[in-house]
Amino acid sequence: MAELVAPHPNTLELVNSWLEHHGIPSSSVSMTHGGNTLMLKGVSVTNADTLLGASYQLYRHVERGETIIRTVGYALPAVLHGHVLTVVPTTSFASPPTRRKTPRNHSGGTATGLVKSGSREPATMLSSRFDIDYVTPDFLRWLYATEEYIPAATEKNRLGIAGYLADYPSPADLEAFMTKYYSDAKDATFAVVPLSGGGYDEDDPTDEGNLDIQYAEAMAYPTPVTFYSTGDERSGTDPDSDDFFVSWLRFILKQRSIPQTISTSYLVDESENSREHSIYVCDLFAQLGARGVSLLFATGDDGVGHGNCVTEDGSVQFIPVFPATCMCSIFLRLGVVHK
Amino acid sequence: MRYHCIYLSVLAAVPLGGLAKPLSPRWNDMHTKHSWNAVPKNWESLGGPPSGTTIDLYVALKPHRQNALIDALYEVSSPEHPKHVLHHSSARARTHMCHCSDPDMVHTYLRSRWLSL
Repeated sequence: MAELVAPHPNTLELVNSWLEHHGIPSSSVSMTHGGNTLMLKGVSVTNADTLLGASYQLYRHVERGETIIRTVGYALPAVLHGHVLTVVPTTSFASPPTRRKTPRNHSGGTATGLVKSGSREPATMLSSRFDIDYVTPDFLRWLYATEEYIPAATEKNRLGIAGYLADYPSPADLEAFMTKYYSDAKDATFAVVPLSGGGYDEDDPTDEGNLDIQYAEAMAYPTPVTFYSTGDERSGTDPDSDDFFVSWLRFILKQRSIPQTISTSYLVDESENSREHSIYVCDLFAQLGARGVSLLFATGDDGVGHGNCVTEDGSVQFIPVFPATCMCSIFLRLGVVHK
Repeated sequence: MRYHCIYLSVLAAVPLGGLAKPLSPRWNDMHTKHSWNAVPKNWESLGGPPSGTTIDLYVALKPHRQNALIDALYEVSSPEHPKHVLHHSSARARTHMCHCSDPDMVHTYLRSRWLSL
């Protein structure tokens, strides 16, 4: 992999010269992210401002209150523009990955997560066979024609579920869900891998964690499932944390063994990142793809855009969501097609 | 914001031949890499961080072989390619694939699932 993403030798030499010019010796710089990213650990904000012609400040989200360190712009020496794709953290203000809206049906006791196929309105994807308002595991297996499929090679295959915002599921809720909707798989289990401040308390699960693991198991059982609980660092004391997806990617790219298929149900508005930052993150996902990992990403619950798609100037504009908008054929994208 | 854009020196600083290494780089010839016109929506500035604050910076470098990564991804994703990772044979894989270049084919499939469009 390192060979595929390796920079030109001149690039390394030039960038190291630039860093040394600013008093950062190459001995304090390490290579990461599969071999295409230099990590400069513990740079003072004053030096970062000088290095990048930036003005790092603390920014607070007016609704959620989390604080991050970012700059609204940064610069590089002209000779480096052909060598450096982007620097993070700089201008990425992407809001925390959005959990998909998950109307709950509490009538099932501890079993969580029946995803209503149309929020607050009559169901818009009607089936003559399933007279239901909710998407059930049975419906999904019929929709994707997997009713007769028996997962093979379960001793070798694994399914990964990437969770963010410190989400994680509950084994008791999973058992209750499977008992009600897929009793053949009521002994389904999962492993949890916390990273970057993620957690796992089986008595205090989150809705999205439960939803994601329950439907994954309903489709993939008895394939082993691993849930990655990536932390919500921005709400803590680490405001310089970088992109959520990058935190997870940095972890997973270091692993020797990675699930062959990984599903992600979190997204951000594409417009909240610079084009270069988006390319950078997409390329990290592409590294997984080149290692044979199949990636599934949510495209949201809103079809071409949430709300009424009307911008502040009154025009109607569709709202692409990231990372599902990464280059065609890197991902399989799944989401609703209406609203 | 401190940008040091010396526009008169732009042409002199642009490397000839793409990744050519200049003999004496002008480190102070700073050009904007990316900036927003204003603080992004829903964010407000609290001013500079406390003195002594440090951050970890990640400098992402462009690859030497521009298309190598995506080429490799296509190889392991193409059922006919020897590096294809799918456990199915290519013949079996084809039975699960829809070469849906025509949107009507997608609609046909969805209707076959009795979905209203």
